Amino acid sequence: MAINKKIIPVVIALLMGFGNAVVAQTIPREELIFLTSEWKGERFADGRPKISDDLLARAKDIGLDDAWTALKNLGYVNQFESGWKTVNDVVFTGRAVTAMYMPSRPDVEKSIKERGAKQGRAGNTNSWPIDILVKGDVYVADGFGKIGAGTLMGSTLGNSIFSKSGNGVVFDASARDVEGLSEIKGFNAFVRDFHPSFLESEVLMGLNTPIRIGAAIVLPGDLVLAKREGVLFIPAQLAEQVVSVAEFVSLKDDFGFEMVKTGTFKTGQIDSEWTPEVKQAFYKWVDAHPDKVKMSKATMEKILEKRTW
Amino acid sequence: MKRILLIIALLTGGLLANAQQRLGSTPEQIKSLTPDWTGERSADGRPRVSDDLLQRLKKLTIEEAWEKLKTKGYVNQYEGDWQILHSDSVMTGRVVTAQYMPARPDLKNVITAAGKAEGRSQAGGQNLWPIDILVNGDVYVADSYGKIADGTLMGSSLSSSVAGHTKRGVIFNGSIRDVAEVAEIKNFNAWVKGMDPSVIAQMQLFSINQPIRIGHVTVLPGDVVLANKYGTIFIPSHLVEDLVIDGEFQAVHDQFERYMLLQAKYSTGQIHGTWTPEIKKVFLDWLDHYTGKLPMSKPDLDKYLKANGYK
Repeated sequence: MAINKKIIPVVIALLMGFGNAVVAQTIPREELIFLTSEWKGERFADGRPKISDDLLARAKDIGLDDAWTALKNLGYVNQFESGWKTVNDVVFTGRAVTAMYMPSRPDVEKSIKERGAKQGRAGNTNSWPIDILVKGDVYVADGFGKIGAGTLMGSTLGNSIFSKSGNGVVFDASARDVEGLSEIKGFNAFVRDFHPSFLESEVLMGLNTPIRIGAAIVLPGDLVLAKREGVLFIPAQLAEQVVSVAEFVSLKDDFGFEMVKTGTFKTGQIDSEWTPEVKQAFYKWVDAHPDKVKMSKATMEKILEKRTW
Repeated sequence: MKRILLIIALLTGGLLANAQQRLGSTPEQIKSLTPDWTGERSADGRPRVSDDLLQRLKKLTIEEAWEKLKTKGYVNQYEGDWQILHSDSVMTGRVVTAQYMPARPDLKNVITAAGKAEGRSQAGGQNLWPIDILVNGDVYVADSYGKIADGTLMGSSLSSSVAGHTKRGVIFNGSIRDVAEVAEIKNFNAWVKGMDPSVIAQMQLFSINQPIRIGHVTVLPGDVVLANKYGTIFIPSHLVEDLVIDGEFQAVHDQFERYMLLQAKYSTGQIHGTWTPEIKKVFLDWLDHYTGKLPMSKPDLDKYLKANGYK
């Protein structure tokens, strides 16, 4: 009997999980793992890839263009979106929590709200993604570019988002109360525009499902890099590699600049394939600047080996 | 105990199987998306509104459908701004949905595995998969997110296949190619956002028969679409019958008004306003002696008259 009692909640949980799968809203853990099966590292309880805090911090300092090039070379060319308005001049990185909104229709909204209530979700559906945010997350929402009556947050929800995630948001949609939002210290929002209206006639159709943000495709757990140029969504399994390559590009630039300035090598020697002599000098320079190097020695050697000039 | 373990095994198996089936919705998933539909369903689980209603729906105007949907709280069902292949023909049909996304290698691997597990064709591109499941009376509706250049979902070959399967056509939030040849295909029409000579590139199929967005509209599998020169309106399956009979009744009602006004026996306000019991009686009498062919069946008309206070 004791065993039975333990099993019953499992059965209920499985049943509820199955219910989730039936209406594409909250994605079941197994499905999320299947979608992101190339990620082999740590995961959140809900199955979302959990890239390390260390990598999130490192990513803040890389050049978005260098990361974009690294992704392109890996065959990922639809990961960047530009054309944003922001509320502050704050760069942020984080793990994507994705939300997909659609125009509401009563039959769908009824099913979604009933299912949400069973999962203990309350209020309007646009508060549900916020309820699940944890530190280091970036709330990324496809609000189908709707501006009037498409405001996914004002300053109240903005404060709530920032207190939970410590991060900004990326909305293919609008926000209201830009002044209130810009007063949240450390917060930033990449939105399409601002509008004084309230959110109307929209319903949350997907939480942590793949979504489209303009020309980019985003999966939950992607590393979000939001900088002045725009937003880059780096697949979790490539984050370490892309960040390291971008760091390497910046190291190489610093090294080359110094070599040319001191007359050690000529520009042509730095910009074409490195001779053993230049490589030697690079390693020596790296040893002399430990503060600049965040990747492991092994990673650096791998990048140097693979690099085509 | 053994029984419980078996249940768990079945459920986990179901879950995993479900996780593998990420591409096409199962009949159970479609049923749970469309719980208000109580009638017949296609083998794939989609609501199957009758051929008769699809035919009768063609006579309705977009406005008639729009107004009725609005009174029911469905305010986001119309999408306009189309390029139409044959703008003088009207199309109605049962919706099959497909979602396209920007290409992403890791997701492509997942979709390829899912498609294989679901037994979908391994010859040709994945954009064939939605076409493979179409049957007569279906309309292929796809969200290719308004991509025109490099976003062409079909040319003349696939259009021929759609024509052969559905005798209807397509509605794409995106583009097609080979338009000169496509225009020659019989039993085919297309509502698209653009036409372009380029070939589909950097995009991938993401789902079949999941809810999709076509501009301002959330479209479900099994919705019935009315598409004509003036746009497209997507009608939830469970509202089609009411909407058609309502539209048809309105037409008969208007015919009676015109007939009475020409007689000039009553004042204009008496006829073109709220009817007194006397006028209602005249109307019922007129219906009893109706010489033309009524658009709906007698029992359907009777049901409507009773439900709306004429009888």
